Amino acid sequence: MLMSGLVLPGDVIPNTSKSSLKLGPGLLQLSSTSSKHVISTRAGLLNQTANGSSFWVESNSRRYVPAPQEGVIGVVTARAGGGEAYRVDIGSAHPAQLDGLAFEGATKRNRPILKVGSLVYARVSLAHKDMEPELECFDAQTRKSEGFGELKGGFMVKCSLGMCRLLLNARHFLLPLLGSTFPLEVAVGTNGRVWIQSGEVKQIIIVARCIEAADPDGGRMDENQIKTFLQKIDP
Amino acid sequence: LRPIDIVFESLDRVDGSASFAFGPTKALASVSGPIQVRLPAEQPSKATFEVLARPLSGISDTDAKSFSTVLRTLLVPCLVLTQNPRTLIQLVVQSLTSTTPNQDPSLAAAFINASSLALLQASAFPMLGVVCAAAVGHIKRHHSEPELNSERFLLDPNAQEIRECDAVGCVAVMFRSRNTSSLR
Repeated sequence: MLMSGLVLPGDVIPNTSKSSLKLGPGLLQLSSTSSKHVISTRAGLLNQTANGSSFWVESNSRRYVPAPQEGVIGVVTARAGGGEAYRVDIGSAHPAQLDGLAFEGATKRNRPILKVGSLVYARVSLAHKDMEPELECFDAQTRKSEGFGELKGGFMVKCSLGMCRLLLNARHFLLPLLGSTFPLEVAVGTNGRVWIQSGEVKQIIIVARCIEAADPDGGRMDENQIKTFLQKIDP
Repeated sequence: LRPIDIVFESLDRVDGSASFAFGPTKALASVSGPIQVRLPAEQPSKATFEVLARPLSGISDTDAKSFSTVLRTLLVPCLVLTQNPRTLIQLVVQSLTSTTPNQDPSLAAAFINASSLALLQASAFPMLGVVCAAAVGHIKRHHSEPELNSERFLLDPNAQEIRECDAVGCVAVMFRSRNTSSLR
């Protein structure tokens, strides 16, 4: 990620006439008879990889649009397909479908039963603009659960999509800082939802408030400010 | 131009929001989308873009509805609606001054600019450009000697300047395809 500059929607991106180029989120290729342009479709920072082969636009938003192979946290809202599947709300415009057999080692006679209102951590297996998104609770390659499945107990908080990407980054300060203070189990969905489980309710509330405070869309606090904030709410 | 004030309000229950003011003429816009759409308004191959304009006091009357249609026609070219079919992108603009957009072109311009900013902040659907607007006034001075006739344009006239103008309107421009090779 060498170069980044501010772009607005409609801005033409230079150096994109190579034959093999990967366009990430926020970019669109317009081709007409006279020329081919790559334009930015949102306001944000344009980033590219060191060798100039991949470009993307980094920006924050609150509304999730499903993309394949992303881990998301959903709330089961209904049983569908004659009791065989579940309708899950993942925060997108359309509710997602989770098949009853899409769990590790599930057979017709032996499969987990999810109640309406329970939380699941699932992977988006199908995300196409013309179809309803579909979820699966196992890893695509290994076919094992790898952390996907029902999330029992705990508490779910909502944050911006940019905050989720920060939390998923191993180098971000927040989760290691909180995890060193008390035992913590966290599941981060790329759909703007984070599930927190800890020993005491008070600790869960502290984590929830810290996530809100560090959110670039909310409190926007950095590491030192969060440490001061922690001292204030948990002396 | 009167002093411009822009605030990204970050309202709680919407995806993007911003307020724009030309001096005392202020407007607030909020955008949510792509969200679930009512079945009658659902379109199979594109998102439904809905604009609601609200006056400072009272309910939305014919005036507000006619301006919402104008605002919608103005903003549709800068949105790519085909990427999120069967969803809704809802824009609500609220006037924060007691004039109406059909009579006060600088309020119309504030509405348009606030809407553009709210759409930019939402960033959940693709856009092709940014629409900006300003009110323009035209003054024509007649003189006894025809060579000394003058006309000039005023940008964002205030109430007193509007009285001197013979025509006032709102001009909106969509910016796109800006070459960014000079950015570093």
